[in-house]
Amino acid sequence: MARDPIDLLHGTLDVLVLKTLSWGPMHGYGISRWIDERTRGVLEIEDAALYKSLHRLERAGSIEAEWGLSENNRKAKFYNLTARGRQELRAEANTWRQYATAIFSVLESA
Amino acid sequence: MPDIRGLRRLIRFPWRSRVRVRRDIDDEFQFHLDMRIAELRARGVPPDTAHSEALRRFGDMSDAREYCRTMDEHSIHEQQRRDVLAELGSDLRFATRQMRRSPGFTTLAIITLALGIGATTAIFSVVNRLLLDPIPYPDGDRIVNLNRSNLQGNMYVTPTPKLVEAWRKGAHSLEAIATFGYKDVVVTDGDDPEDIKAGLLSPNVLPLLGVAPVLGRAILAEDTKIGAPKVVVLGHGLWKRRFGGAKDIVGQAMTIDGASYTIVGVLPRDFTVPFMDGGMRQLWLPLEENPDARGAQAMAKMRPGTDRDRLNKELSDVMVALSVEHPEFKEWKALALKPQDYLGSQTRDTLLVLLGAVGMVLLIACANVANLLLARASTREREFAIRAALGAGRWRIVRQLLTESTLLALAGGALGLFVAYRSLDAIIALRPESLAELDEVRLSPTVLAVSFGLTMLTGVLFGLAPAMFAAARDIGNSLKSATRSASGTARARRFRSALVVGEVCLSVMLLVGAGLLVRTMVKMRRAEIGFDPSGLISARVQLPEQRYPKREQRRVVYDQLMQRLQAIPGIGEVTWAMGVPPRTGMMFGDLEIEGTTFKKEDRVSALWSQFARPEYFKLTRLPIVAGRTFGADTSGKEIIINEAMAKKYWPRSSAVGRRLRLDAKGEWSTIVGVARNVTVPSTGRRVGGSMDYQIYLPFAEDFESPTLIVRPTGALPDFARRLSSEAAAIDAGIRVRDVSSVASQLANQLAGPRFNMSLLIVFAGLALVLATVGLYGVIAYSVTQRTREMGIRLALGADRPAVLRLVMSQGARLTAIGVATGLLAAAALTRVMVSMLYDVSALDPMTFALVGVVLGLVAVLASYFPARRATRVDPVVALRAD
Repeated sequence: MARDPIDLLHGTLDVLVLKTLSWGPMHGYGISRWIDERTRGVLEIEDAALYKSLHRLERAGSIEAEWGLSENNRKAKFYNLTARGRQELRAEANTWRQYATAIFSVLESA
Repeated sequence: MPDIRGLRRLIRFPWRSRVRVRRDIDDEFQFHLDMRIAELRARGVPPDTAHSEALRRFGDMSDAREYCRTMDEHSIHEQQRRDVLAELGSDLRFATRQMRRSPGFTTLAIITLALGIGATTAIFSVVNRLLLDPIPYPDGDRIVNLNRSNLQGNMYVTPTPKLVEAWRKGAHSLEAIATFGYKDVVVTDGDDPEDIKAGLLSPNVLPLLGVAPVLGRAILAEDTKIGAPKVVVLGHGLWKRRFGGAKDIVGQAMTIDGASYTIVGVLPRDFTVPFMDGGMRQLWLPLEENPDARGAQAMAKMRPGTDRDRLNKELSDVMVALSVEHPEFKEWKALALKPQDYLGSQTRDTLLVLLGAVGMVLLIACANVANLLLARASTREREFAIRAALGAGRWRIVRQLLTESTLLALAGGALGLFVAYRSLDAIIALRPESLAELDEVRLSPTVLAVSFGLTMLTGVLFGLAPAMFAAARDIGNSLKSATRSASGTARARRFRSALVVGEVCLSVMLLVGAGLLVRTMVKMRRAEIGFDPSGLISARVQLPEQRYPKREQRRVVYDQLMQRLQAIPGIGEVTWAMGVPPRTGMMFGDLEIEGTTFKKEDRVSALWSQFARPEYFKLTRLPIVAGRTFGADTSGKEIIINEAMAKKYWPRSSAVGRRLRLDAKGEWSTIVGVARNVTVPSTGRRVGGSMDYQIYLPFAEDFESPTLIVRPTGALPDFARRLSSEAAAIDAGIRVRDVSSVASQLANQLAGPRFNMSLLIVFAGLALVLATVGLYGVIAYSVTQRTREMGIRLALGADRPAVLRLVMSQGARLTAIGVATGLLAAAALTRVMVSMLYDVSALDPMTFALVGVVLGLVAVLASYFPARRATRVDPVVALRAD
């Protein structure tokens, strides 16, 4: 695991979590694995930060949680996107897209 | 895991405990670590390394745990709040739906409550204004009226200007002190002269009260100097009435008592001076700064934190110090009074009786609505059972019912405010002259707050019992037995009966109260007053101040006026007297009768007195039953007494020729005649006793403001104007006022009792109607519930009269208990009404009996109709129902 993890920009994690959950209910570990796979390990997300983000989003009402059974039949806390979360994701994703486009256009033109 | 509880827990995490929150977070983190370790192990990492690697990847676990815990607790709080609001919202929605579903019930309940709350609010606002918060100015509770009283404290008079000055300088408890008085004036601008009682104000009255004029300025110190330019401040009402509310009124002139005054300001609407007759609010003049003047009253504002005892002590000390130089203050002490002290125990009693009465009406209203709710609750039993089965807790159902009752109460309260507003208008329109303060009674913020509190309280009061019964119900039974179970539990039934008994009991008490007042009114109307007032006209004639200082001078004027009047066709008889009943005088002194020594307790120190000319008795048709009327001697040597007095002191012999005097050093007067008793009925007075002793003395032109009495033989059109012009022909300074018929003055005496009677009749009537509705409701309801029973009885051969008797006996039993307890309670309570009665015992048997009979009849009617319905039950239909 010798890579240079990129520090996450503030607030980025939340949008990643929302995006991940848009695929369906998932427990914390699953979310961590999913992001890892998608970013091919470029973003090393600390588990502590992930759980903070989950509970923060739950409080904000963007996601909700329920206890269920995991794939290996253990009790696990599953998170699910709420209607509000879905809305938020759309808005955040747009912002990110614009931001990224702007940064890119600057970098490419150089 | 699919049990219902688990399911509910899976749906949400409602209201987790703190411990739960911590455990959940630990479980979640542990799961994560376990998964991570398992994954690493699967990749072939050795257990120890896998474990530490998992922990490393997790990062600062205790920080995350703390953070998540805070977040979760916050969300739980927010969730709780949202849930409560949501439940309240759904309760409210449900309650409104319930109300809309049974509009008849809702309307009846709201109107009942509105009447109860409205009447209570109206009466409370009166009590608040007169008893609780009588000075409606900032810090009114610190404002007192200052007097000096004799050392025994049984007599007090106004302070002299010198004393007020000494108090102002010497008493530290005083924040401010101000003096005021009044004066009768005539405003002669325009065509119609108007008699007005003008208030006289020292410059510090308005600052003390914290009142500013709405236009122009107030009365200033320079206005009160003797010889200062004449200025006047208008009351709001007079300004609107006489000057059309003109904004440019300041600086204009008006004529008062023939002199020109400059209008300098206008005072706010409703401005009155505490301790001053509430009718005085039209015209305000400067109180002249005259150290020798007497009769002005003083009021003071105490410093915060001072009480009246301390103030009295301090003011009395000032008087002691003052008496060194001015011995006239030696035998006096200070006496600070509050408006309540002036109210008189009679008014206070009346107010408390009215408040109590209206409170009873409210209670009856609550009982009635509670009864309606109970009846409805039993028809809703299935609904509650289903809700309970679906998981609603008892408390949830109680809360639902309380929400409904509170909503009803609020609707009733809102409509009640309207009722209160209209009733206040009616009360003010009805008020006797003596309660002029009532004109300022408003639905003040205090009153509104109390009314709101009352509304919420009634909501709980009538809602609680039905809610408790609903909560106590056995769910399973209700569901199983469906419609038939609705006979209600025995407890609920007993409770409903108790409510009706209570209603009847309270109504009986109110009816007895109202009955006693009606009897009072009848007695007062029928009272033998002793003379014949019909057709009599009286007028007060006032000579200009100090223009006729000698008795002979006054006699000339009085004789002249009489002669001039006698020339008017149809004038009939004319005479002068000091006053005319009901307005006569009292004479103070120590009654002595020649040849008799009184025991101490028989001493008489005050007598009803009248000064009259010889023709007075014939003119007023007041018979002289023994002896004769006065002769030409007006020196006071002759005296006429009434029968009551003659009978008391000379029970077996004639009083004529005996001698008496009221002043130990004075001359004896000889009794020349005995007149019939003159009785002016008034409430709260003990009949019999020395206040009934009456003496007549010769009218000796001692007064500057005597009364003219006329018994016309024909119509006297425009008599007041005619009288004024005849008087003016003698001296333009003579003033004629209060031209009115004696009969109407006597009728005015009935205004107070009529006021009390009207209010109590309204309350008692309301109570009777509500109690009747309540009784009817209970009987009708039980008939509905017992339809099957009636059916069985009829099927088994009971005849219809038997069924009728059965139902009616139920009503009769409830009524009998209610009437019996009501009469007993009334007997215990009517004592507080004694001061409102005239010549009627508080235990008047006739009233008590009549009330019992009336309620009995009403009860028979209220149970007859439901009973008749019971006899029409068709056995076949009744038995098949279900």
